[in-house]
Amino acid sequence: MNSRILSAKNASTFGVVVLFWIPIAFLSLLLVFNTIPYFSFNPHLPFLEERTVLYNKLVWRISFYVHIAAGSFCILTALLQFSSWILKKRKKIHIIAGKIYVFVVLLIGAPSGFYMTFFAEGGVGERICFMLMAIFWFYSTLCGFKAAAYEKNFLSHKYWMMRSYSMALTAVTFRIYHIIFFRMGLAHFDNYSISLWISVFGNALVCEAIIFSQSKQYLKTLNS
Amino acid sequence: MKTFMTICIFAMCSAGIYGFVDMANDVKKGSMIQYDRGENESVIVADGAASFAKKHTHRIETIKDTPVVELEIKSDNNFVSKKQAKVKVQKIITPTVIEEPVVSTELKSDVKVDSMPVVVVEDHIDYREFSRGAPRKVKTKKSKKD
Repeated sequence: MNSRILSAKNASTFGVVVLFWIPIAFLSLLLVFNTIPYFSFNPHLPFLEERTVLYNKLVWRISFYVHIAAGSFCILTALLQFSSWILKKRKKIHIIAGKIYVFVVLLIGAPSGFYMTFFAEGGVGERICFMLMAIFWFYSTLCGFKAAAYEKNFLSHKYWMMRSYSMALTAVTFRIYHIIFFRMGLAHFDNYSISLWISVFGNALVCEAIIFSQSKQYLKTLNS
Repeated sequence: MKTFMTICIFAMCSAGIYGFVDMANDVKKGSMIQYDRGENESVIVADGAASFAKKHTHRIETIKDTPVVELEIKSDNNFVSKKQAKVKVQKIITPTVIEEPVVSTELKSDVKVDSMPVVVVEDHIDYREFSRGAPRKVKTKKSKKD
């Protein structure tokens, strides 16, 4: 291939990576940083004050703290997983971080989140959306884990984990949409509802589009 | 590995079943959580504006020539939308009767009265609070003059 075309391709790939990953990494870290005050177990934080009825329930309280702790681990470990440098040069980091991610999502994050969906903010529609998200997050992580641990099908593993990460990333994208729609002057409840649906289905669609563009074996991974 | 996966599926199913039963119990008892849908927020702002207008009624009286006094109400950063943040207070003044202030949540006005309190509404987002998304609660703030 012509060296100019090659370098232009490399530059565009680098640009996309920088434009996509730097904001994602920054906002993910900001989200994790924002969860730190909750670990003071102070019930007078705004989010918890709105949910005093739920906070008085022991199971919900435990689920909440477990979920935010698990979510922080998920977001932090997932950031390492898509680095091709780590995958090629430091495979052990990928494996350890992957095990933490899988353990945290399957055993802690998804079940605690699934329980909390029944009491989530919004109407029935929003709760169903949260439920679908929790179930798909769990299912995609399980499939990704199975593909790597049992079937040794790493292409399928990659795509399922991308789907899983797209669901984990709804925590970040939801807040971005929420702020954007707030700026556009949308009323709180409409804003909340629209941001939620767009973040869940938008992330899933973007993920499928990336997978589709990356692989000709796309349909095979769906059957695995 | 198989045991781990079985435990995970079991955990997920139990969370779902327990959540459903818990929610059903709450609905049955009538103790299900009711979230603020954000419909009362403009009312809160309007109440705040009305109380300010009431406090300073004697000052409004001094402007007899102006039939309608419109104030730009501004408060701090916890509004849901820009529309809600702009609150207009109208005070209809007649030579003898001073009516209750009429508060509407529409446009801001350019007419300002020096002696009136100004509540500053800033639709500013504190990005340190990113985990909460956009601001939700409404607070009114007194002006420096007040």
